[in-house]
Amino acid sequence: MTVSSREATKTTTTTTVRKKLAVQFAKDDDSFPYRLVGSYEYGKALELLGELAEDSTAEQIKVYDKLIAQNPEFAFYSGIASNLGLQPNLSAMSSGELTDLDNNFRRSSLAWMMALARVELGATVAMFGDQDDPFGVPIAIGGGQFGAVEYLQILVDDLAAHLKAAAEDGNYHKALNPKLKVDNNSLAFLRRTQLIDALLTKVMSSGQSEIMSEARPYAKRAEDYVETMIAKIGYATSTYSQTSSSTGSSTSTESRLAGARFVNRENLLNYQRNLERHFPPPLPTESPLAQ
Amino acid sequence: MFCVSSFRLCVTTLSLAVAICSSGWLVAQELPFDDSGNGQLVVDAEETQAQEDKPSISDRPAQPVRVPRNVTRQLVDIIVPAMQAGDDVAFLNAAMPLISKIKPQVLGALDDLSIEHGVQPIQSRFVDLVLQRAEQGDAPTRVVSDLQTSRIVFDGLVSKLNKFAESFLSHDVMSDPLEVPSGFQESERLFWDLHVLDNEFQNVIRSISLGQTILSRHENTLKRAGEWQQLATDLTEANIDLMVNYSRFKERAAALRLQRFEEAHNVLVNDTSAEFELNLTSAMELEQDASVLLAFLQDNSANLTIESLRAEGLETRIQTMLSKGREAAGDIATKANLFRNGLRYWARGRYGSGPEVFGLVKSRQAMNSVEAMEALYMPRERKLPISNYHSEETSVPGYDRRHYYTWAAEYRPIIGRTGGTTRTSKRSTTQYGPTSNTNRQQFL
Repeated sequence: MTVSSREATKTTTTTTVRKKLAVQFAKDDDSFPYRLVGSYEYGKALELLGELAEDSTAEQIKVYDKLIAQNPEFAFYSGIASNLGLQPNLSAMSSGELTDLDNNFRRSSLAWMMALARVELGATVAMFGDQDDPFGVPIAIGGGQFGAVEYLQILVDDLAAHLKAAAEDGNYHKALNPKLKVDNNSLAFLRRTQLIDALLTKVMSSGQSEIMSEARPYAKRAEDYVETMIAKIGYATSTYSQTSSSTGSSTSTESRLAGARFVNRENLLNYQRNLERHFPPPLPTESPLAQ
Repeated sequence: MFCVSSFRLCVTTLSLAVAICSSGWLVAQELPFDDSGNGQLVVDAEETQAQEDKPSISDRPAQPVRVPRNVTRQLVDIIVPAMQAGDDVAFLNAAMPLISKIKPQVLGALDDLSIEHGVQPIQSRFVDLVLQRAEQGDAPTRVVSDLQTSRIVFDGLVSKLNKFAESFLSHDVMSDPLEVPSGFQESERLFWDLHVLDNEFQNVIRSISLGQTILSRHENTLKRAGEWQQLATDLTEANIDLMVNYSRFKERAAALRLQRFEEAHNVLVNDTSAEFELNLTSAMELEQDASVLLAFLQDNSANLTIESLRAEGLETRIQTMLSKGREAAGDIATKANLFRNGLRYWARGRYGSGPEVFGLVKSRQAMNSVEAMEALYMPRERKLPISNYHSEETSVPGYDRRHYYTWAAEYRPIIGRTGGTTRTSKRSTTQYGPTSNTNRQQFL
């Protein structure tokens, strides 16, 4: 969150607890989340497709879906958590035919494309920003409630995928070692913790009973993960919060450790507009995949 | 698949590649090369004595070229694995000393050995990589400083130019009659192919400058050897052929586009019974084709040979048709623009690669200009989406979601640790102002 958006004065209470080791990391790079491939691109895509979806009738959206379905490059797959660990279907590979599983999880429509863009952008905000509702930011950028169900489904999918991947990650178990030394790995793990926390919060506060019941099996595991990570390696935050307090951020909780960078909807849009004002992008001159 | 350990593995691999690159001089030192730059292979004393005792070459029947053991080891231990792993940096660093120093006939034997090991011949791979980098304006400087390497690269360049010319001339766009296929999907495919071909032209044109640099760098040596004139002529002729063909290609592509533009305009303005889908695709074509055609005519109005493009006042006519088409399309024109550009940005987010952190991150320059922000490596071929159930070689991107990886990208080095356990509390009131470098903390 930007300093200017806060009150002019702020009282900060800083408690510094240094345990066995306090670690100083090199200065953060505020530009990093913006430089991630996809931040700018998915932001722009959501602005444009969101406006299109809001201004179009259901019949017109069917036409968009038909055109999208004709281009395999605009499709993707969900159900990732459920198929983690499965080997590729060798017979399908050799025959070149799609399997039923492929067809069941193949996603190809305007709503699904926006869902993917939203989850990628929302994850960036969750990992590198300090928003209370990071996965709400992409909705505010464009499209409103269009594709909301698809978005929630993909959030559940991602929650499950992150939990499954984390459980199978050897470094995660190392991170639980009480003698752990704080290092870059700690920051990365806390960033993932922040992401899982945000995914869980968004899904469980959606009010969609079907989605929530789908996510319920993961909720306990996600809560355990977040609590464990905070308890084990959250002490790194003591040093971190001390240094971040003078920047105006009230960051003092462990879940903010990894970020406190300045990603939010307003800044993202301003950032795009500033760039465009100074350097008008050329009109795309080729098909959507051009350049 | 998307855990820290996987990510770390990639980092380790990269570090290894960097370590190999940085230790290139060690690799070179281990080789039996004469460092005087005359390209002679240095053999150890025992081997030299043994050769002196043998009859002269003219007295002996032709012997197969023997590749020194340490060179073979270099090939088998470093170069072949680098090629198999697709580690171009390690390959270039290991191959460059060999290419520049050992005799051509030994290099030929190394090519045969490479094939025996199931990889591309070393010289051919080397030339491909150097030319690829030349296309990006980043050819290794050592390529042009060493004469033997320069010759090999130059021959490869001329050969590539000739092959490209052959393949281009057999392309559909060069045969008559010029006709746009009917249907939005089909015509989009055609113009995509033409776009890829245009990029290839531009890449090849960029690589010609490497040939010019080589000729300039070795001008005196090549002139003394009586080779310069022929090489310069070869390059110049290839260059002229290329530019002529490129002009023809661009003109024919523009003529095709003009056809589609006129058809799209006709649908929007005259076909009152057209349904939303046809109007939408026509509006998309109208905007795209007008933009490309106007840019083409601005740069290439002279010396056009195709009748339809030479028409008097074509630019004005296109602009008028564009306005009328937009007007007829109404809000469909706006929707077409939103749809087309939205898909374009989505595809770039999905398939684009930056230059840093395994393609996940753009350079810092991206924060200063839209050009750098928009510059992404894009796959040349249209790809199939990745599925865990079904795998194809052409499936991309190599990850289901970007954030499965980006969470682990932590680059901040630890710059200090302090010990001891202390507990302090401080309450302060701070006046905030605009964030600046001076009031940010040094360390996070």
